[in-house]
Amino acid sequence: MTKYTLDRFEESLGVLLKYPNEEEQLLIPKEEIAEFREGDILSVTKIDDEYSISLLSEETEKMRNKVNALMNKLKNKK
Amino acid sequence: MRKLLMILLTAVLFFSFSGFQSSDAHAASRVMWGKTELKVGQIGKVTVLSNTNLVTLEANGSLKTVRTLKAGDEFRVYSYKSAHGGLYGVGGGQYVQKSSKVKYETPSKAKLALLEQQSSAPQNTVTPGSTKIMWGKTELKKGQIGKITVLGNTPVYDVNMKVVKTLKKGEEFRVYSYKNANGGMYGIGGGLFVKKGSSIKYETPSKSKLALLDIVNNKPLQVHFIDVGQGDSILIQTSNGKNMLVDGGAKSAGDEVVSFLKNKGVTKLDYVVATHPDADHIGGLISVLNTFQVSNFVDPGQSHTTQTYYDLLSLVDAKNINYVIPKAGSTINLDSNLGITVLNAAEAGDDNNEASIVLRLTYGNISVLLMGDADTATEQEIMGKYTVKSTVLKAGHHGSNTSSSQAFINAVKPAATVLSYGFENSYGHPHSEVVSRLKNAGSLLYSTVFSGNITMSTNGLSYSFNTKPWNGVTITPTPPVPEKPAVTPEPSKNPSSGTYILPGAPTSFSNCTSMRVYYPNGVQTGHPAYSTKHDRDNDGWACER
Repeated sequence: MTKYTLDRFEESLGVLLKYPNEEEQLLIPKEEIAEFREGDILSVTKIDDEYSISLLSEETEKMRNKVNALMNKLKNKK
Repeated sequence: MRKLLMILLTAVLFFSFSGFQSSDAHAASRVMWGKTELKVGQIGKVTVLSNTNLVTLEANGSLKTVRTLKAGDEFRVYSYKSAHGGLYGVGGGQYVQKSSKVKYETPSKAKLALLEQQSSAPQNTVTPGSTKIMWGKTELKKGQIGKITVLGNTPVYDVNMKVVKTLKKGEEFRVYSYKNANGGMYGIGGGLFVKKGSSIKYETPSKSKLALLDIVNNKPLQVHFIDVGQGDSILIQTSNGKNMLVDGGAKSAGDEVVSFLKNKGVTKLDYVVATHPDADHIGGLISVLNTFQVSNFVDPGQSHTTQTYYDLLSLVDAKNINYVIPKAGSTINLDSNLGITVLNAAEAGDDNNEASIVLRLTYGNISVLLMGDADTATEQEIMGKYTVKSTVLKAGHHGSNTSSSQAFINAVKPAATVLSYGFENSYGHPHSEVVSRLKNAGSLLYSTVFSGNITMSTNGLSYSFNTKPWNGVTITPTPPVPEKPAVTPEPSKNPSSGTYILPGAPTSFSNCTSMRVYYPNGVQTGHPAYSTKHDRDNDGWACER
């Protein structure tokens, strides 16, 4: 499995960035990943020409908390 | 877990060759080097002769392979490191190792000089005569503090209070100084004075007129729209040498943005604005923060879970850069002669594009509206609250129809619009309806794909671009015409041949597993069951083993 983060939706496509360098991107039609939100960290597994994609909810939550903590630190730094 | 039929459209690698393709239209304003465009900051190019690795430098100094490059690939080279026998920096922190598997070439001095000339000298400079600031019927001049209008015969004195002539009703004179002596004396230049009194009317120009007079003879304000492919990056340089960068393109564009800034003499950035945390706007800021001293980092405070955003905030923290989350309606004080108002900032529950910071710059009579990726809902909101009418518009979201509604274009009435996007991007930006909407509104268009880097210069009264406007017509390369008609393979009786049609078998399969029930070795082009979605490697065989 490969880890990606759903960076954004552009028109009818979701833009997934490959962890951790995020320089490689995977574009997937919006309707195929309609249940995911921007910022979700996803597990992508390729089997032949089929992909299975699922939400890594714990990792997403962990990362969200990590970024929010850092942002709060910056906000309070004066 | 849920299974999806993979409709992988493209896996785009973010390398700096994204703008390599070119058409004749580019050639007008770009410096071409063989088949590719020479870019600011580029020192050479590598051509891959046989399979070699694209690598990154790890923190411990070792090399890590990103992927294998194939013969024929070309990359712009922006830097050279002597480590590991020689590393060519191709942008985005990635390198190609020096070896017999690659050929390295450097551009000629003449080409570099031409590039320097094109990127620094505006082709249409602000024309003399356009610096005249009118105040009523007369021109406001440097050093002028007011004017007198003669209502009745008025004597003119020299420094010794001797009357030298008499002014007649209706005449107007510029006033350069005022003295309290003799009940008030207006200096009208040439050592001559007029006494304050009922035979003259004294007026002072408005503050905005005086401010304009102050900037019009200064160095111009420059707004550079840097060609970062699909993304945004805008450098603002004020007449007093202040610098502000709005967005930095994707990560892979980082080295190009850094080179561009260095080329423009930037050593310090007073403000770096990340309009919103999408990768095509913030990625390149990592290289920027690593290279330049930055005083203030402004972002909408919209959290995002990408590594890129986390790394960026970590740099703001590590380098003790002042972190600013602006409120809508607030101002940014980059330079005393430049007004910058924040027209949109994040609100709770916004998605990333909705959170996009929108900035309006006012410099004398000229204004620039930088929309980030703000969408039509934001446009509706800000046009109700603020003045949006602007001389130059950076259209929202790379010219997508999620932005630039007709109502908004009508309100902005841009004389020129800049579209920042990548060549043949996957999203169809800019959308044709937006392009025609802008053209119909009478706006000139400037495109980073057509022109590369775009610079707008203004003295507060007039403005100019260093490149020609884009006509709004996308040049689609003509598909190559095959020399011979494709030969249809003779159908074979062998079920493994790829051309054999099994009687009664379906002609459409949802995936390879179901196709192989009927065609164990897959099928070839021309077979009714052939589909490109089952032929990801484009070799003419679908679902081959």
